[in-house]
Amino acid sequence: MAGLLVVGLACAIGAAAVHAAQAKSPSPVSLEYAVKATYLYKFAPFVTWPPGEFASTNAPFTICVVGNNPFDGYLERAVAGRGFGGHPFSVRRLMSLTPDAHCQIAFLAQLPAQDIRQALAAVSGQPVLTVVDSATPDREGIVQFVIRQGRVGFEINVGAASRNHLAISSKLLSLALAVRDPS
Amino acid sequence: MTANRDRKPFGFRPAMMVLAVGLLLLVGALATAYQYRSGRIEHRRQLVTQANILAASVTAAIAFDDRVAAQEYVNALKLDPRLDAVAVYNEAHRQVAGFRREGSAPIADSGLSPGDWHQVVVPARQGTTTVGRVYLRAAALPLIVQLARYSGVVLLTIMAVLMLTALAVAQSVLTRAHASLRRRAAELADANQRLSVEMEQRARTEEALRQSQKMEAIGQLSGGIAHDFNNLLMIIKGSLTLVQDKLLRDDAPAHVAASVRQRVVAGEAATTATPADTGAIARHEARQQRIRHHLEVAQESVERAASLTQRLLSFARRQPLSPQSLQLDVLIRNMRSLLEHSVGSGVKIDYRLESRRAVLCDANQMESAILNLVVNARDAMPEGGCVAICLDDLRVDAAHPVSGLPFGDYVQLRVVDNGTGMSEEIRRKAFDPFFTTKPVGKGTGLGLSTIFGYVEQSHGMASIDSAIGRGTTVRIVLPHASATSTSEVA
Ligand SMILES: Nc1ncnc2c1ncn2[C@@H]1O[C@H](COP(=O)(O)OP(=O)(O)OP(=O)(O)O)[C@@H](O)[C@H]1O
Ligand SMILES: [Mg+2]
Repeated sequence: MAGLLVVGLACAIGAAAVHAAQAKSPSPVSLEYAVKATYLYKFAPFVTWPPGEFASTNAPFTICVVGNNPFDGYLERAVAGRGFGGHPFSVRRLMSLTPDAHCQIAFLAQLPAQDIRQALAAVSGQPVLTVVDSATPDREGIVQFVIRQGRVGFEINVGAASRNHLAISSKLLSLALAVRDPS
Repeated sequence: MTANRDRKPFGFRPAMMVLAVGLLLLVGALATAYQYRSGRIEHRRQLVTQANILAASVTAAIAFDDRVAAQEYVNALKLDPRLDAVAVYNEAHRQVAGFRREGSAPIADSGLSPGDWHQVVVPARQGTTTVGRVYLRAAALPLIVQLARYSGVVLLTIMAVLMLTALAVAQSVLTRAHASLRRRAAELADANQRLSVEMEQRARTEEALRQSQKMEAIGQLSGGIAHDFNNLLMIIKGSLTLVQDKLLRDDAPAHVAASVRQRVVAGEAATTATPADTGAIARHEARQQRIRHHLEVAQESVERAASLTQRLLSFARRQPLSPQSLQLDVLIRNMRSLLEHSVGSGVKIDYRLESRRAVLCDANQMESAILNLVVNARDAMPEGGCVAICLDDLRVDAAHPVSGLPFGDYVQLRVVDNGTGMSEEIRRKAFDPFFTTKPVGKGTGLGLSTIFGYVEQSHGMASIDSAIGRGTTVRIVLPHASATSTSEVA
């Protein structure tokens, strides 16, 4: 199963990016997390944050990694030099998500279910795109990574998104493995 | 002249025709080029639009490397047969999806060569983030389709050229027909002109013939009368001379002596004449004087009658002429004092004697003719004026015909005045004998008729040109006396 996953990921992700990541990092992150890191910042263009989200035109776009950091610095390197509409990406590591964390995207990685609930509740109603790792599924997150047929995929909860005042592009929705709207 | 008139400014000429066709072809070529260019631009615009649509829909599939979804979008474009190949590349220059038709080359992610208008590339953007690129390549259009596209313009151009050609041909045919028509019309007008000239000439000839016949008749009549009359006059004249001679021979003293002798025979004393005798002689003388006077009057009248008949005879061309070869200019110059004396001081005579040719004529008759003409001119200018006597050479030939004269060399004498002139009616009668407008006793009306007769007899021609108020020109044309003609007349 693990071998199959690796083969699938190798097909899925840009080989050059993986090679670059492997070249830059002496302890390479797993291909699965490399893909997830890439997906994290690639979500940004398909999501609309409410106006006034950024303090200034060049304020950083913050991606918070909450809990254990599975990327081992890969995410920082991947977003280096990139930005979203003039806002440079920046990565913050948090042990727990609080309402005043000022994240645009919050990745809840490898946390106990209890902590995930808490974190999601902390930013509920706030314009934060919550992404829950496939290892600890929770349906209340806006984006939920899933592994299917050896590929990294995602499900989207549009009800949670609208609660957080976020609009998700239909293009992204069309790629989602499942779109939920519990409300 | 005709050639000039044929060169109408609006006429179609070959050069103009060629120019027009050339222009038309040029316009057609330009239109085709424009259509080709705008067609290409439009085609490219469509291509870019298609690429943009694909790029907009495929962004998420590129970003999350969903090849299946990307390929689905691309496959939708497969339905368009005008597309040859499509490729979707991600940021890492890896192809995410694409297709190419059989036989066409793959699309490399290498931007765009500027000359290749078949292929377009657009960035795939989500918001401000570029996630990849979309390439579209159009299929090269088959030649037949391309040709069909421009066939409209080409057809129009060909039709315009054909129409122009047809127009030019029609125009040239028309022009030619027009020219020939005009030529025919000109010929007709020419013929008409000739005809009218001939008719006029004929009328003039007829008029002249009538006139000469009239003259002939009058001449014969008056000539016959004048001839007999002249003979009678000669008898009268002879008788008168005899009477006079007789009267002069029986002079008065002889008459008286005879009466004395009678008386001596009767026995009377014959030594002395009686006073009664003296009285008888005186009475006798007075009577004789009266008779002589009457005789003289009679003789004078006979003389005048003789000269009249002479002139009539000359009009009737029955007078004997003694023609000789002479130069009129010399003759006229010798007459100068006579002429100037005749016209008086109020009239000036202008001599323009250009001809030195000899003519064959009777010098006395010629002199009297010239004198007559000058006196007529003087009479026409009671207030005085100027008379010109012109003499010049004249050649009568086909180019300059004079009615009634055979071709040849002539001398023309003209007496020109600027007097009262004549009405047309008077002008026509002026040559008639006894026609005069002058009061009785002043003119006989024989002057011009005598000249007419004399000139005709000399194989010449006399004519009058006159208009009331503008003066009169009397013209006499006499044949040039060449050696042959001289001998002929002699
Ligand atoms: N130069 C002239 N200008 C105007 N009328 C003229 C001229 N010559 C002739 N006539 C007209 O023609 C008439 C005839 O002329 P023609 O010489 O035969 O006779 P006439 O001059 O009248 O008399 P005649 O010459 O016998 O004394 C004239 O009475 C006159 O009316
Ligand atoms: Mg006269």
